[in-house]
Parts: sequence; C-alpha cells; structure tokens
Amino acid sequence: MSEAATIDESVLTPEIQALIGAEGEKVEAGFDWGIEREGLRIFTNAIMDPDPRYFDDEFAKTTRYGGVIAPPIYVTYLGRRSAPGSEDLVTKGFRDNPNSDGIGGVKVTRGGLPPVVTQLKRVLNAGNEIEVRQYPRLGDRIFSQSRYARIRERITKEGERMLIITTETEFTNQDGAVLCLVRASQIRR
Amino acid sequence: MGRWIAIGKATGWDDFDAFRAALHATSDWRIDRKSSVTSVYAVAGGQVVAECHAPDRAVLEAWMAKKGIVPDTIHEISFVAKTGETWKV
Amino acid sequence: MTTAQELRDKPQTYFENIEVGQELPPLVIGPLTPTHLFRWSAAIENWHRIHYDQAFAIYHEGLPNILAQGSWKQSILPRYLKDLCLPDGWAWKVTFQHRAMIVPGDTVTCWSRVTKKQEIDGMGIVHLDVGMRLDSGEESCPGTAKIVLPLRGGRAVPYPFEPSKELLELTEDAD
Repeated sequence: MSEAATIDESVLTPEIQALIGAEGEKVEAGFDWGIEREGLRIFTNAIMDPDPRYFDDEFAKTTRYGGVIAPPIYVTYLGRRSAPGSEDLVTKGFRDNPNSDGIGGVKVTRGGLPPVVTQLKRVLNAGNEIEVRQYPRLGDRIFSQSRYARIRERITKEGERMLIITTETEFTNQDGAVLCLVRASQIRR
Repeated sequence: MGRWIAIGKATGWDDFDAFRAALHATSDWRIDRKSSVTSVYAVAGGQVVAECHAPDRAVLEAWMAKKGIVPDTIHEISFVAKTGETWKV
Repeated sequence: MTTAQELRDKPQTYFENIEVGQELPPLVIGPLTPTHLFRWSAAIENWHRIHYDQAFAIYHEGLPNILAQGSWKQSILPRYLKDLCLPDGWAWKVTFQHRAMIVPGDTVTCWSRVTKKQEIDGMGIVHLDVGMRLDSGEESCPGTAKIVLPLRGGRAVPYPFEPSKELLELTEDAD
C-alpha cells in the first residue's frame, strides 16, 4: 500500500491533468450483424423484463419508437462477446492457470485508455452512472469510445490526498446517434 | 479470516423439515458481512457438522449457541477437496 | 412479477401526480437462485466463477456463496426506472454504488423516493433516491436517479432525449 501523500504534494500531476479528455479508440462494440432478436431475447429474459417493446412488432409499432427496441444497457455488454472462430479464451485461461477465476484469459484490449500513472496504488470503486439518450433498435451496429471525463483531487479531513477518476464510455450507433453514456468513477488513494 | 468445522449435538434436526426451517433463510447461515456457515450436515445420532468462515472461531461458537447446538469439537480447516477440486483455505 | 400485458397497458404517471417525499411503487425480485445468476452470466458471457461456481466462490475467494453480479444490479435498476416512466416518460440517468452482496436466497426490492421536482422547459424532471434493498434491510445498491415525466396536457417528453446545456446545469447535483 502506498504511503498517503501529504497535504503539500498535489497528486494531480501535470501528466495526469493532461489525460483529462484523453480518448481511446472508437471501436465496434458488437458484431457487424448488429442487434438481433435472439441476443435481445436472451438478455431481456435474464433481466426478467417482459416489456413487449422488446419483441412484439405489432405493439412496438404503436409506440413512439415505431418498432422493436432494446434496453439501452444492452449495448454495454456486447463488447464481452467472443467472436466466432476466435481462440477459446476460456480454455486458454485454464490452461495458463488451472486456478483461473474464469475471466483471467479474457482481456479487453481494444479501445482502452492510457493508464493513470500515480503513486496511489489502492483502487476503490466510487460508483457508476448510466445516462440514456435513445433506445437501440434491431439491426443497429454499436460503437463505443471511452475517455477520461474528469480527474480531480480531493483532500480528506485527515489530510490525505486522493484522485477521483471518471471514465466515460459513449455508445453510438452506425449513424453516430448517442444511445447511452456510462460513467465509472474510481478512487485512487 | 479462518475456516472452522464443528461437530456437535442438535435436537430436532433428524427431521428434514425442521432442519430446513432452521437453516434455509439467508439470515440463518449468513451471520454477518464477514461470517457465514457455508455447510451443515445432520448425521446419525443427532449430531451435526457445521463449517464456518469467520474472522474468529468465537463467531461459530456463538452461532451454534444461537441454534441450540452443543459443540463437541471445533477444528480449524487447512485444506478442502470437493469433487476433485482442491483448496488451501 | 410484472407481465407483458401490464407493461402494454401501464397508465402514464404525470409530473403533477407525484410529491416530494413520495415512495414510488417498488419492484420485487426473488428469491434469487443460482439459476438466475447462471442465466445472467451466460446472457452476457461473464465467466467469472464467483457467480456460478460455489466451491470457487467459497473456498478460493472466501465469499459466503456465489454472488449476484454487479452488472445484473446495474441492469435491473434502469429497467425498474424505465417501468416507472412508461409509456412516455424517460428514465434519463441513474447513479449507484455497489454495497451489500446479494446471494441466492435473497429477495431484492428496487425502491425509489422523490427528493426534488423541477419543471424545466415544459418537462417534469424528478430527482429520486433509489436502491436495491435486501429482505434483511441491507442496502445493496444505493443511488440516485433523474427521470423525466410529462406534464398533464403538456408537451411530449422529447425523444431522443438530448439534454440541453441549460438542462444539465439546472439539474446538476452538488459534488
């Protein structure tokens, strides 16, 4: 565990400040066949949401959306899926480590952000935010891009300095329409 | 944190419905945020075997007292094997 | 459990019909089982063993049991808010933190309480405290939300919902 920085030493270094607004590569979050009914069916069943807007074409046409839509949060999970024909990362993970936690072999490598290099090693989850702008539709291709939306310093009552890093990931469709934004905040102390 | 296994005597737990009623709810086995009784076996002769993960064996002792189990022995667990998987705990 | 027909027929809640301090209808889910957790892991291809492999969760990770996924929680809360807003409101934003673990056997109640109301540009902005409470009373996912409800006889909530700079400033929470 790193030593807490004293009140005289800002941990929001110029190098870290320069990362504010830094963006990762925009990547396709799902596959090029876009949002389809079967994946949507499995997802909405798993969140136990029987909303007919997600499957009933006749009803969905009568709504303001004009057709079947998907829960906005659905797009945030598309990037986890293994492409067909790709290396079996589950098997690889356990081959490399028989005590694998199941996800050790699965690494997200695309669209990542440069690391925040700091002496503060302890990482705590400071909460998430989901902002929804528009429903994804069947056939939509989904793209994501992350950026450091905000990095700020806080000093506790005890004089300990910490960083609060907010990463924002924007999910868009093939037309560039913003579907949702996910903001994840992390404390480094 | 440690893992203990206790052998003791309980009354009434030779009846499955009574056993289930005493142990089914999360609050029956999840003692607090850090401590859980993860397995309980009712064995012949009114004995029970209970496995607990807790910061201190006193947590298991208190749980047993609450459940009316009279402890015979309590041992700290070193290794576990379950259907071929092994764990150092 | 909510049915598809109930969601087809759900009447609109209008901005005028709710008051600060009011608790909105909850959504109760559970008791959860290992199968619910497994179904979610499979749906999103999350192979983390703590969510379906009990021996791993207990003996390798020192957990009380397999755990409900944080990702599941963060999908249920938006779903709950969406239902509250149906048919023509908008569940704009939700923030949350992960607290108490959820294990099989737990029943989860999604709840919300109105903390503030703002009428901005013909839209009813409703600020909520929200959460997912366990039957033990513990809070698993405390947070806040902003939903947009139409005013009775007023203009439709815009869709797509693209908040203006003014709306963002007027509805911003203090740090």
